[in-house]
Amino acid sequence: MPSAEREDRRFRWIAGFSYPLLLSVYLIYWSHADYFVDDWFLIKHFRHAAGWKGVAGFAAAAAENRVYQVFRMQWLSILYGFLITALGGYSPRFNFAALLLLHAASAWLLSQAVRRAGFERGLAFLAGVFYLLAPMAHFGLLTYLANPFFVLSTFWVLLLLWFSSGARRPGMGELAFASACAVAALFSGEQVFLLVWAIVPLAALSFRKKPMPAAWPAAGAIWAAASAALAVYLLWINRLPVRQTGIHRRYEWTSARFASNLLQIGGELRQLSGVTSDSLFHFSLHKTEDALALAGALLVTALVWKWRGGDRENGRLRRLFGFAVGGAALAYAPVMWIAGGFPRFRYHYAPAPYLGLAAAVAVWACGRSRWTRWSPAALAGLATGFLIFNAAADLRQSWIPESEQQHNLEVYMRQVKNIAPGDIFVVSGTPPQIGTAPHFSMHSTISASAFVELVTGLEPLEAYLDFWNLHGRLVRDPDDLEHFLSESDLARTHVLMCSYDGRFSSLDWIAIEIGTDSFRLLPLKGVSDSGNARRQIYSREQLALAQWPVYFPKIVRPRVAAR
Amino acid sequence: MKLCLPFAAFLLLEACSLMPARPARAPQRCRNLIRNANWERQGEGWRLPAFAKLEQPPSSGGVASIVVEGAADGAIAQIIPRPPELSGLGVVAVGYARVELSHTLDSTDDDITSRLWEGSVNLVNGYSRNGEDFASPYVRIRFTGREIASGCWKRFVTGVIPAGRARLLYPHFAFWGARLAPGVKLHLAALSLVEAPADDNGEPERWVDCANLPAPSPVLAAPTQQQWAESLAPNGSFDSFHMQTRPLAAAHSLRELVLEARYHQGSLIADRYLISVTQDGSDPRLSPTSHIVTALARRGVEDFEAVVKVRADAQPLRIAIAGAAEVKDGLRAQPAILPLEWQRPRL
Repeated sequence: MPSAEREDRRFRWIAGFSYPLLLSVYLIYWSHADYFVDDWFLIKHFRHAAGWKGVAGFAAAAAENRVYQVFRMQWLSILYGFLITALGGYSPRFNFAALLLLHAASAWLLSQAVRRAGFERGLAFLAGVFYLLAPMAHFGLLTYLANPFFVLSTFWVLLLLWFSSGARRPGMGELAFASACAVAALFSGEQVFLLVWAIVPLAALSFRKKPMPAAWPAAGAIWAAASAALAVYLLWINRLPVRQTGIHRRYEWTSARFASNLLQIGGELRQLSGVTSDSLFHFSLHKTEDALALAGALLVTALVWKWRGGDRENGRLRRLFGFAVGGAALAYAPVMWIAGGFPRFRYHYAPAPYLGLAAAVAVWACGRSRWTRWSPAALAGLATGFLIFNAAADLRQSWIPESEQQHNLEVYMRQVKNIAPGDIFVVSGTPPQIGTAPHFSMHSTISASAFVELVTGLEPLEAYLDFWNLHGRLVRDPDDLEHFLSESDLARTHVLMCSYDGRFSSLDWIAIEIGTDSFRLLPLKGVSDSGNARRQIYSREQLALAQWPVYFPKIVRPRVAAR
Repeated sequence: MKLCLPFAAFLLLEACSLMPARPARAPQRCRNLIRNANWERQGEGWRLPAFAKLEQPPSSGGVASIVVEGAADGAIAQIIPRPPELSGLGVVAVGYARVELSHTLDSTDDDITSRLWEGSVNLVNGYSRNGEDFASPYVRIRFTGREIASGCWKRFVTGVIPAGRARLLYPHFAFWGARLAPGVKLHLAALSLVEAPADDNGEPERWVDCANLPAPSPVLAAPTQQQWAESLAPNGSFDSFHMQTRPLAAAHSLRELVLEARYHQGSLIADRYLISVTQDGSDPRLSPTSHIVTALARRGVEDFEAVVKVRADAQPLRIAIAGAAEVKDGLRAQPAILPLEWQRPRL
């Protein structure tokens, strides 16, 4: 075996072992792993899909877009979630481990693709490291079933990139494999839609491999397969109107939306750095990550130095950098028109490989002169240490506190007495976000209801973040002012209140504002009105003095009411 | 390829930021960076817009104020080159405001600022890093009907800004497109800028509670920003209860009770006292028939009195009192007490 080939083989093995080791910083979160927002909703569907008929029915519902009732092209990721849950049971840690392994495999694929395109092993290894530990990847890795859309679709695209970066002209079997990867990516998450079509031509144009024409048959095969699959899907499988329930509903095709999303994405990248004044978490020293950062930095420094090579030809590196920037732009492009003002942290995962590659090229380019040959290895070590500190800080300051609060809520909810099917839960005061981590369950009604059903073991139950007061009448949702709550609805309602320090308490009464500073009290479920409190009118001060556990619904503001 | 230079600069920046910026010294408590804080010598050293009229203190040793009426757009400001010894430290701005009305408004807890003026008036802890572009972290000046009716000053405290990176400090009262309603006069006084640690743990008030800073009087008590955010009830205590009964000349069937007490503020501030009176013997802490009088607490004043009208034939008369604070989640009261000195079987 020629020595270069042997060294490449060793490179594959060492990268394959190093990446999971570097990922061990995520194990800080291991004991806190829990499901997150949409996961609760999906698990409910998974539980109902029993037996072959049930499984087939669920798979069909996912493919036909009947699970979320919006047009999306991500049903393969939903099925991945189902499969993982079927294999590991309802274990968040199993899901977490599976996602980490998938992420490590993606990083390995990126490194191998760069190597196969003819770049130095050190650069290839470094690209994988930067993607592996990228702050942009945190969100995707910590939300298991909710976001395999991002991790899984990125995996397929990287598999496609790895395949297309080889110098050899592909055979029929290989073309079929590439086409299958493209189709899998197409239906795993729509953020990679542009990448599916463009990644192979972009790689061919950027890498400038000798047998350039080899890329074009591959691109042709991929386009043909993806077009056919897309046509079949849209014509015969999807059951929802594409425009009304998907493109039109989720996106806003205006330049103002583009500009505001661009600013938001830029702002979030700055916040994810952990070093700016508006960062959502800040670096702190801790024995575990000190040791991990030191070990990771030494490992990466040693391996980049070992594989430093001598090829730092400007033109090739510039083209690789161009490829990375192009890939990131294609991955971000669909996000630029997404409507709504919510955080977009999850959308940073798909561009992460390309941003990692761009950073690796920048580091590699520092070692061009004879006198600065040491600098890529040193910079790589420093950057690795930084990224490990960054991940640990995000985990400790965002995700672990949010997980603990979620755990408190689960424990408290299991202690609530007198729950029956059909009851309503209001969980008020939960912080919508701690650092980069949104609340794991009380974030939207769809996940909150599924969460309380799974935690209490009873269904159906309804759950809301708050009730809303519209001039003395209560509604569940400030955007739905047609369905008012009746007294019988309140008699089956439990209200839990979260204090600033994450503790929960049950409230017994709900205060209905019937005039200026005048409230009527109605008992919630399980409370007897022996003192006839409901017949009285109280002022705010009287209620404060009485110190009864009273819930004050939120007020519907006129702007919302006027809709 | 020049890619490596920005990347190396980025890494250097990150490495620097990893090392906590150590201030050269601890913050010097109560050091006011504002010059001529009392607007003496016709406000020398201040940028005073045309709409701001200087008002001398009613007595010597008092605090001068600025009165604003009608349309106002601009800033009452000082621009201060950042002293070098502030490296690694922060600064916090504090200022006072009071509203004078030619007419009466309901004494409620509703925010009535939008009825007082269009636009907004703000206390700004501004700064500039390059001498040209200014950042303007601010706290909005707002009032409830009850606060205005009290006739007291209200204190406003901004968040801490890290002064180390600033070239210029720019504390000011900002009028952003403001137009005061007819009959509304806004009084502003005693803008100060004091040192604080760059990371104050969300408690800027700790750094502005200083006897040597200029302050008008009387000033309303207010919960700290942290207490407000965490919705915590106050934790002070009452003592020294007294009660006097006076007949009302205009209405023979009524009596006026003058209730006196002393409240010692705890670490969690009470911004008001709730006094609940029942005249039918029911528990004033729980009764929907109770008559509640709210007295706003004042900073640095422990003794207070409240006047309540009751029926001359009320029996038995029961009175409860509690310290309370308006916080993020609404009104939070500490457990009410029934002082023996205030309970009467009959008047």
